[in-house]
Amino acid sequence: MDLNKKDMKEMKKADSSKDKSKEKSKASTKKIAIILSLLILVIGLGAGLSLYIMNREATDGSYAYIYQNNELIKVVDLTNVKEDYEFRIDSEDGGYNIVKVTTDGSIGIIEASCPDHVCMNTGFIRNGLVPITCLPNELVIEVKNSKEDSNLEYDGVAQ
Amino acid sequence: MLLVLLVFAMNLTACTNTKTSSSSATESASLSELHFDTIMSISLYGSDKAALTEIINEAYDEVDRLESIFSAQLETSELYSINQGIAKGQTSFVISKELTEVIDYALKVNEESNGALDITIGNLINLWGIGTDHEKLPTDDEIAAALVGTGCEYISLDKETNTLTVSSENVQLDLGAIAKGYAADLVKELILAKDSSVVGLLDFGGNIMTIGSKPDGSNWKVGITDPLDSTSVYGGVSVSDLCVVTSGNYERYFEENGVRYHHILDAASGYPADKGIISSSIIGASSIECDALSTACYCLGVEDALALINSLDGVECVLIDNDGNYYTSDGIGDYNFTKAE
Repeated sequence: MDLNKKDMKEMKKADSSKDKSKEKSKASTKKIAIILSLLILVIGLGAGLSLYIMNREATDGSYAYIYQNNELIKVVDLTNVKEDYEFRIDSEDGGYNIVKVTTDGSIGIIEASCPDHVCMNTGFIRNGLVPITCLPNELVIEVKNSKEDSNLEYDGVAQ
Repeated sequence: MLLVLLVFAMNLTACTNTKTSSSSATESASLSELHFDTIMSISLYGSDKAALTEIINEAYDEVDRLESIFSAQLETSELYSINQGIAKGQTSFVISKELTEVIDYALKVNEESNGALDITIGNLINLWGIGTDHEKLPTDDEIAAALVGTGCEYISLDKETNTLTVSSENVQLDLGAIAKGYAADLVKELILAKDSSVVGLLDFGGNIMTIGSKPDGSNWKVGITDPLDSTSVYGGVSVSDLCVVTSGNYERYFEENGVRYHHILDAASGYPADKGIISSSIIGASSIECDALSTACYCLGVEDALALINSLDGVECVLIDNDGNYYTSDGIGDYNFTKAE
C-alpha cells in the first residue's frame, strides 16, 4: 500500500509530537527525581538534627520531670537557670507543694501541705540518684539526663 | 544518590528506637508508679517493646494485688482486717497463701536474728507515727505500754491449713519490713514466666532486684545511698540476677531538739534502733530475705550483724556506722564492693 504525501506529513507530525512528549516526560521524571532527592535530604537532615538534639540533651542537658498521680505534668530545664525561682503545684484534694529551682541546677520542695514532709527532707536534688517523692500529694520529681548522670556508673541505687 | 540518602535517613530513624546491644535485648520499656507508699520503677529489656510494656503493666497489677493483702494502712487489705480482728479479741484466722508465706518467713528471721525483726509491733509503730500526720516523740510510759503483749511468741502459724493463731490482743502485725521484698520476688517470677529471655531492673522504693545480666551481658552496678548525704552514693556492688536491699536512717524520720528519730524501731527498747549502724545493705538472691535481714542487721549493730550474715549462705552485707565507716561480710569480694570517691 502506497502512502501519499499527506499521510507522510501527518506521520512526521505525529513523530515530532511523540518526541516532544518524550522530552516532556523526561523533564518531568527529572523534576520528580530532584523533588524526591530534596525531600529525602530534608528528611535526612531533620532526622540528623533531631538525633543531634537528643544526644545533646542526653549529655549536656539536665531536666526535672514532675509527675502527679503517675502522670507527667511538667518538665523543668535545670540548665542555665539565671535566677532562683519557685512555683506551686496543687493536688486535686486541696494539697500543695512549693517547688524551688536554683541557679546551681538543683530542684527541691521547700513547702508542702503533707504531714510527714518526707519530700522536704529529701532536700535538693541535681541528679537521678534519688527522686523526690511526696506520697500524700502523689508527686514525684526525677532528674534525668544530667551531666552528672552521664558519668554515673550505677544502674540503680539501693536506699 | 537517592538510595544513599534513603539508607541514611532510615538508619537515623532506627537509631532513635533501638538500643545498641550485643544480645537479643534490643528494645526497652520503663515505667514508674506509686505503690506500697513508695515510688517503684520497672525497666525491662527484650526484643519487643509492646510486649515489654504489656509485661510491666501486668507486673504493676500484681503489685496492686499484693498491696491489697499486705498493707497495714489500707482499710480494705487482708492484713488490716486481721489486725482489727486481733484488737477485738479474735484469736484464729484463716489467711491467704501469700500472707502465710510472708509471716512464716518473718518468724524464721525473727528466730535467726534473736528477735531483731519483729512484725508484731504495729502499736509501737502507730504510737511513733513516723512519716504520718501524727508523728511525735512518745513518753517512756507510752512506749512501755505499747510493748506489752508484743513479740513473735504470741503468734503461731499452721502452714498446712494457712491458719494464724494470735494469743495477745496487743499484737498488731506490720509487714512493712518485708512485704516489698516479697512483692519483688513474685514480680520477678511473673516477668520471667511471661518471657524468660527478658532482663531488667526493678526498683521497689530503693529495693533493687536485677533480672539476669545487663543487655550487653555485663553485671549491673548497684549503688548504695550515702546515709550521711542521701543524695549521693556511698559505694557500689556489681551483681547479676540478684537483689540489693538497704535500710537507712534517712528514709523516714523527724527531728526534735536536734535528734533524728527514724522509722526503724528496735522492738527491745521501743525507740529507733541505735546500735551504731545507720545503713545496712544486704545482697542475695531472695528479695524477701534481703529485706528482712537489712532491717534485722540495722537493729543488731555491727558485730552481731556481721556474725549473722557470715553464718548464712548466699547473702552478703555492707554496713555503715554513725561515723561513715563501712564493714563488709566475708564473701563481699564476689560482688566487688567499691567505695565511691
